[in-house]
Amino acid sequence: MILPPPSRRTLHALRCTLLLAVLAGCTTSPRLQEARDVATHAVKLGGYADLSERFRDTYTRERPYLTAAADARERAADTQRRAVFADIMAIHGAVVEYLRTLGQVAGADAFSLDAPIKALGGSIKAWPDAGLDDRHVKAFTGLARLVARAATAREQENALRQMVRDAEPHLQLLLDAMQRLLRYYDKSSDNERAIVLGMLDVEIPFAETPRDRLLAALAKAHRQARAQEYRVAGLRHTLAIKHVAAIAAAHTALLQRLEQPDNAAATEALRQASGTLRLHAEALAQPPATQLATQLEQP
Amino acid sequence: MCATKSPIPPDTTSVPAPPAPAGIEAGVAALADSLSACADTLHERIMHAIRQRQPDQAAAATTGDLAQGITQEAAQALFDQEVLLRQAANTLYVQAAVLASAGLDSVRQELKEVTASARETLRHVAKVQALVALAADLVTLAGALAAGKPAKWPAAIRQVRDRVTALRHNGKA
Repeated sequence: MILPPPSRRTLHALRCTLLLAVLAGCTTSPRLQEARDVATHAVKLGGYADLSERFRDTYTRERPYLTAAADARERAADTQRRAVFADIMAIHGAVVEYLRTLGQVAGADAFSLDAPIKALGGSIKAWPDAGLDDRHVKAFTGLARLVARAATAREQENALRQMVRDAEPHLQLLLDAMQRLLRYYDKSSDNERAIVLGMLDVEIPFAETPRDRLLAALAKAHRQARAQEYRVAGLRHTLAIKHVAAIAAAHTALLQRLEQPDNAAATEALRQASGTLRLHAEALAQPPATQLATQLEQP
Repeated sequence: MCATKSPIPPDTTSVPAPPAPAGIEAGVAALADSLSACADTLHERIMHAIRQRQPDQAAAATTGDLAQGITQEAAQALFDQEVLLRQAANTLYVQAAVLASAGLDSVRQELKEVTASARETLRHVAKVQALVALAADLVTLAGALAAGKPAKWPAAIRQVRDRVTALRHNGKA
């Protein structure tokens, strides 16, 4: 590839092309970034996993407070909870894997040929006696990247749109099941709290005699600690349900956005859904003390 | 329940079968809710009776009137009933959970297939990227050979060989 010495006009043309290539490099598809945001804030489904485990271990927590008869009854329920746990976590696995892959497909460099083409330019520059200098090589690689970027960006968006469209109905069914499950965990936890705190509430008044003062004090302190645990658990259930609902809404909004890239309403809907999703993801990630404090501040 | 539905009908060839009818699951959960509510009411009565305790419990024991207060044994017996209700409710919630998570095998499988297909696309793209990078390395190698600088050959050859191996690995994966 040996070119004759460039003329002034050729040099000028090359500089223009270079400028165009650089400008083109500044624009990345906003839809890819939006998809990345959704995937990032959705994939942290830790709430569902933790709370599923908590549900599975209900019997272990309740046990000290049960009479012999109640204990015998509860064992059957315990077996069933452990049996259903595998199915519960299988849902989690499928959803997390999908969201992780979604993030990868929408990734900034996933489809990019920038680096390899740049390296190609570098290699060509290293050719001895080729009669090429920096300007030629830069122009060549700049043009190549411009063309490649247009092609790969299109391919990436197509792949993303196809993926989101194919997944939507299945994902919605799974997310719906997850929300229902979380609600059952929450209600089960409420009953558990009533059993544990109820047992203490029924016994403590009868221990408030001078003889049993120490016992009463210990029991009351214990009750305070357990009550706090259940408060935090209840809050986590609520946050987890909101998070899953937000994922469902954001995925639907993302699909609309990808199918109607010029629709302003779709863009706005996705922006809002994505914002809500981020809020709930962040709320779930906070430590329990902060979660409680935030909750108490709200009316 | 999640209320968002896409107005654009999904263009899928296979519509996933819905899980167990929402009716049964909803019925089970509703029954559990009722039992829990009964237990709540019973608990209120027990606590109210405990707060009403008079120093003289004999009268309460004979009349069985909760308004007069309640002995510890009686309170425990009533509480055991409350626990029974709550345990029954929780067993029903487990049943509801079983129903919610059952019958989703095909749905999970479909989602897994979408994920796998996307992974395949990513692998294909990675191969293209690797091919372009390989081309760059071949040009480097050719340049090193043409320049007649033997010192640079081993590194350049190793680079090319590594890329080809990686490409072959990706192809098999």
